[in-house]
Amino acid sequence: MKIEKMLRPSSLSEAYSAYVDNKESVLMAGGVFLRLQKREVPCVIDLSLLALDYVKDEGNLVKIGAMTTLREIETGDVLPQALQRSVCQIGGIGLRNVATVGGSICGRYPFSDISTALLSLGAKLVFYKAGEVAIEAYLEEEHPTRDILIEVIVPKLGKSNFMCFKSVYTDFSLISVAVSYRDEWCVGIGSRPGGPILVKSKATSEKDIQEMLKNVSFGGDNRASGDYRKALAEALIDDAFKGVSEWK
Amino acid sequence: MEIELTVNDIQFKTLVEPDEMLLDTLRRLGFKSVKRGCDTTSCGICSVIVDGKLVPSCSYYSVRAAGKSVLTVEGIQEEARRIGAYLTAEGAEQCGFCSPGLVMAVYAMKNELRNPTLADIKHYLAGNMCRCSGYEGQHRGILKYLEVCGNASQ
Repeated sequence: MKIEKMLRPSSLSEAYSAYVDNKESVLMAGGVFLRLQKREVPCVIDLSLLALDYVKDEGNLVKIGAMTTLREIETGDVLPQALQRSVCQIGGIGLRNVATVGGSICGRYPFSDISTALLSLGAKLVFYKAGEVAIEAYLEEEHPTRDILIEVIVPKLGKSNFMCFKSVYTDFSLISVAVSYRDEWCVGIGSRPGGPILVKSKATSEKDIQEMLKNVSFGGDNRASGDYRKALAEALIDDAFKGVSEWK
Repeated sequence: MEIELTVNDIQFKTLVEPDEMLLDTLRRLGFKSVKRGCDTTSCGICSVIVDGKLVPSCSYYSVRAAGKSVLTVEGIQEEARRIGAYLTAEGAEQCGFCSPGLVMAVYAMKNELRNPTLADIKHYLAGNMCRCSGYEGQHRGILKYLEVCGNASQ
């Protein structure tokens, strides 16, 4: 990506004004995937000086700053298992030291393992102007309003798990699933290869899994067919449920 | 944009483009151990350490290194020789192109993990590709190096 000008605001209000005043400006979180895009951008707003890298344990929930790196999530000690597992195989350690949770969500990448986990966990996103928005609603929006993600609020659920299938250890997932229990089983399915979606079930038998996946679409591309992805999803959800029951 | 950064304990003041990557800045400043591989954050060859953290310099914007401390192989020459010797002894050094990035990753791992198992080592180094050795020799060499450093799991 060719950048004409880079702004490095030191306050959220400054960053927000620059972002809404210049409709062609682009926000930069980690910048790892952004730089791979083949386009010219007149202005990039770097969010790295806004002190948005933190993980705060607040009893029943955890607040994660939008600029927290994936590595900090991987090595944190108060985060739900599904979330920690979801970042473990995203690139190498170096990439995870740069890529951020906010960039992964707002990039709206269909292959995002972390969005799949956050969807299952029922995370809430906190934006500078819009305030709290459920991640499910945000991912469904086709053209979200220009705003800055400040933090992600994740409930500290006792039972959650994440599983994915990759042809190479650090590759993009061919399919990813995250399960958590919130009155019923909430299952996030990502890399279908469409964006992550949420499905729910009261029980965890093979029949329940098949019923849950009945209306989920799985597409094919040059990496795997839709049928293959569906078969993998069934097996991984089953494994994830079993893993949760063994996890303390 | 003008930035000030420290590379291997030497302070620099330099002009960088807004879209310049740390890899290019470091090579321009004379640190030629930093190599360009895939240029997409996949291979780990360009790895350097910024403020104690391993990062791919091909995807790290130079402006973000302002005020930070960068470490390359030139800054850990003695340690790099030791790591290199263990790799060579296990036949894990062939073309050597991936070595600077691997050495930086091993150095970062030694400082970050306490008594890593082979599985921990494989996980930590998964982002460092080698197209020659097949990794077995590297893992043997790294385990022996960590053992000598007193940082290997039993």
